[in-house]
Order: sequence, then structure tokens, then C-alpha cells
Amino acid sequence: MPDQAQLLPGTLDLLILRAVSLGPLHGYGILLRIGQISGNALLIEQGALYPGLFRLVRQGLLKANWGTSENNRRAKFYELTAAGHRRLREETDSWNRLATAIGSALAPQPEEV
Amino acid sequence: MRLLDWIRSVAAKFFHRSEVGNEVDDELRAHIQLRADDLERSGLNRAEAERRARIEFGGYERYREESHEAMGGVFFETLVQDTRFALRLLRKSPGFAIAAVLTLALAIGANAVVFGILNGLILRPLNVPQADTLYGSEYGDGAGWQSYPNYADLRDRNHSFEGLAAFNFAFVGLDTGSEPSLATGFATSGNYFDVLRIQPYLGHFFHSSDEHGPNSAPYVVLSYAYWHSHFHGDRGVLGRTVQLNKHPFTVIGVGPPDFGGTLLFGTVDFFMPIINEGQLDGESRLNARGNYTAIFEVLGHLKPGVTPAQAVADMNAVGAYLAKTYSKDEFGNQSSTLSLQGLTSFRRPAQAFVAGLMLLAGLILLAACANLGSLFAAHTADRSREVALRLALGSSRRRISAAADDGSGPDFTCRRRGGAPGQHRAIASPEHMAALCRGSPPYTGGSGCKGLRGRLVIGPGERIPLRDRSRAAGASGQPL
Repeated sequence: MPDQAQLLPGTLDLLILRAVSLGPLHGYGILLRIGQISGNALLIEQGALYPGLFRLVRQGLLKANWGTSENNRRAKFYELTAAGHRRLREETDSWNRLATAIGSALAPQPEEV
Repeated sequence: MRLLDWIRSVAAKFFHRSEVGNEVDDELRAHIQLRADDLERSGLNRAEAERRARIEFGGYERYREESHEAMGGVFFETLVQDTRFALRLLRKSPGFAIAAVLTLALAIGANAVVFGILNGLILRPLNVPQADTLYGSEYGDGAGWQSYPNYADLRDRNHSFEGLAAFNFAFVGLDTGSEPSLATGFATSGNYFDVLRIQPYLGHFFHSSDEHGPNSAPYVVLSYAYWHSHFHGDRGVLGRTVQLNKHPFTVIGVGPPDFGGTLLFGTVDFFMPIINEGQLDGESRLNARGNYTAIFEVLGHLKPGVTPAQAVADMNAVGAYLAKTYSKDEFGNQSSTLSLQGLTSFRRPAQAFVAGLMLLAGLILLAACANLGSLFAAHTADRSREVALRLALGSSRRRISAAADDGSGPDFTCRRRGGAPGQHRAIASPEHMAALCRGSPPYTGGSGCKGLRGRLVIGPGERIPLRDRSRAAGASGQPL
């Protein structure tokens, strides 16, 4: 899939928080959800998700519980904590500001037209 | 609060290591199974689906390690792994290990010995009460020796010292009645023991009040060690007459057990009043102001509140008065200096000696490091295949490059091992030295090399995973 973009460093955590904010998910489910909400435009190596997940749990942004998946496999489900919700809001704002700034900097300037 | 949480999580992880490891494994395997389920639904058979799922997952062992690290608390585990790995490597190449350990042992041993000497000569205070206010005072031309009349004037006219004592060496033939032998003693001023604030083990000491002109105090005080070795600890020795260079002296006391004189190296056998030293040599040097061989060292306690600088100024003022009054006696260019007592006269040569030794030991350590460096470079070159293998199997680059930076993981282990024999050597040598020249309680040299025993180096310690061959192929990222 030539159209897939590499992730910027640090953005995987934001994507995980966003994916989980829509409802509790296991690790594989998080990857599917990210693929779904990003229109499959992002390239993520599957294993790379897990160090990120454990980091977020340690920071208290996610909490994890073992449960059973839709096809009856034992899996660990993640959901946002209050701190996770707060962090997601902050990160989303700051990402939007950054994206706007970069976008406007890269847009054609009046003197170029 | 955050720190506390971290410590708690570290402790928890440390004590429930395998549990945590299993949980990570369970979760990663569940992921692969879930993915395989999806692939199977898309038409692949189960075996092929699981193979694809594993490939897509990426470096299993690497992500497992990273996950583990992300959970915190892997420091001890890494350390244990690294140490075990280092030991395995050492066992694999015993020749290399022995060479490295020997190099380190020699270098560390040499450094510890030098520190022992430094400690014995310069750092360690004399074994007398309140040694911190006891200073050697040198009034002379810098050669160390002083004249007796100058000493007497300085002692009586200064306002800085509570008392000033002086001593010179006395090398005599000492005849106890049975077997005459050579003995080394101090010819001291009468106030010597009072200035040092020490008490006799047996009998009594002589005092300033015993000095009534030349040869008026034919007394001798034995050192405790000499009393033990030559009089077999006989308490009846008091009052006995011994011959010093054929002159009769009365034994009046025995010094305390741990006192062998006021030199930082070497102990003496006896103490006698300096006013009787004329008897030994046939002529007295005590009256010639220009004779700078009469006294080896002058020392005393500073009065409370007097700084060494103030004392030097005071002594120089007295010295200036003496130079003006007795200019006909060839004073030359005299001035006073204070120093840690016990080293006054030997200070400069002793410092030069120790500095030379330190330089030498430094060079030895440098040579050892260079040797070890090339040893490890050669060893690492030999291990290039292994490093390539570990990279291919998913070892993190950070831990492999730690190996390249530090020489190697075995380095740490070698240093630990090299430290122990080095310390033994060090403990032995200063003891011998002390036994040779001091006779006081032996110095325990171990403390000397604590700082030298190598930094803690964490080298490679990757477990090379061989359980799952398929993951070697899964290095490239696969899209979902």
C-alpha cells in the first residue's frame, strides 16, 4: 500500500488514546480501530503498539482488564481513565494548533501567487 | 508521590518478574491469535494464517522486551541478565578472562599500595591525643634541622603554642647488662611528654623540672615495644640502670602501648632528655646557636583560637628578634613554617616521593587500561558474528551499542573480579611496610581501593532468543 504514511514520533500514543476513547478495546482491536478511523492511511507495525500501551498504563492514562473477545479468546481490554480523557483533550488541542500552524506555513503565500 | 509509585512498581515488578513476563507473553500471543483468526476468515488455512500473523506482528522478542521496559522495573532484571551473560562469555574464553583479570589485579593492587603509602605518610595523623591541633614548627633555612638555643628562645617567647617540645635522634649502644645492642631513640626536651599530653604505661616520664643544666638528667624512658622485646615485659625494670654508650642511665618509665615516637614512619626504642645528649657524643651541640644539627623537629599544640597563620606570624616575629640580636652567629635567611607534625623535616622529600609514586601508579593504571582496551577491541572483533545474530534476532540496538561503548559487558565482571585480588595485594603490602618501619597496629589497606575498583558498567546481556525461529523473518513492518 504505497499511500500509507509513516507515523510521526509520539503520535502513536495520541492515536491509542483516541481509539480507546470510543470504547474499551483489546490491543488488536485498537489497531483495527486506528485503521478504521484513519482510513487505513497509517503504517503501524503491529508489535509496536504494545510498548506504547504499557507506557500509557504506567502513566495512569489507561486501565486494563482481562476479558473475553468477540470470538471467545482471552484478551486484555483497555479503557481510558479520567486522566486519559484529560490528556486526550490536551493532546488533541495541541495537535490541532500544530497542524494548523504547519498547514498555514506550507500553504501558498499571497506573494507566490 | 510519583517517585513513590515508581519505586513501588519497580519493587512489584522485581518480585513478580516471571508473572509479569507471562502476562506480557499472554497478551502478545492473544494478539497474534486474534489476527490469525481474521486472516483465516479471509480464506487462508490456519497454519498459514498463524505464520502470516507472526510475520505481521514484527520482532516478537524485541517488542516483548520493550513492553517489559515500558512497564518499568527492568533495571535489576537487566542487570542480572547482563551479569549472567557476561559470566557466560568469560567462561567461553577463559584465556581472555584470565588476562583481563590479571591486568586489572596488578593495576588496582599497585594503586592501592600507593594509596596505602600516601595514607601512612601524609593522611594519617599521629597516634597522640588531639593530633589535629598538634603542629610541627620549623624555624630554619628550610633544611629541617634547627639549633637548640633558637628553639629555647622560640619556646619561651612565642604566644601561640601551649608548649613547644623538641627532639633529635640518638643512635646508641644500649647495654642492659647482658647483651649490648644498637638502639634508636629520641633525645627530647624535658617537656616532650607533657606537650604531647600522654601518660606512661609504667613508672613516670621526665619533665622540664628535671632539667638542671647539661647531663643533669640521666633518665631513660623505654618504648612499650622495646620493653616487651628486650625486657620481656618485666615490671621490675623501673629503677634499673642501663648503659647508653657506656654512660649509666636510670630507667624511670615505659611509654604507652601505641606510642613509638613522633615520626609518621618509624618507631623508636627509648626516650632520653636532650640535655644529656652531650654524654653520648662527647660534646654538646646545645649551646651553639649556629649549629643546625641539634634538633630534628619542634612541635606543640596551638593555643585554642590561634590559627596556623597567626602562629607563623608570631614565630617569625620572635625569629626576627633573634636574627637581630644574634646576627654574628650566621643566621642566614631564616623563617618559620608550620606543618602537620611528624613530617616537618621530611615533608618535602616525602611529598616528592609520594608524588612520584602516584605518578608511577597512574601510569601503570593507564597502561593497564590501554592493554585492556585493546584486549576488548580484539574480543569484540571476534564477536561480530554474534552481534549480527543478536541484531537479526531482535535485540535492541541500545543494549548492543552499550557493549561497543564500554568495551563489553564482561568488562564489569572482570573489574569486579580484578578488584578482589588487587585488594588482597594491597592489604598485604602496607602491612608489611608498617611492620618494617612502624610496629604500630597494621593499616588495613582495603579502604584504599574502594574508589579505584571500577565503575559499574552495564554491557550487553541480551538473551538470544531461539525459541521462535519465525520471528527472525518478521523485521519488516506489515500493514494491516
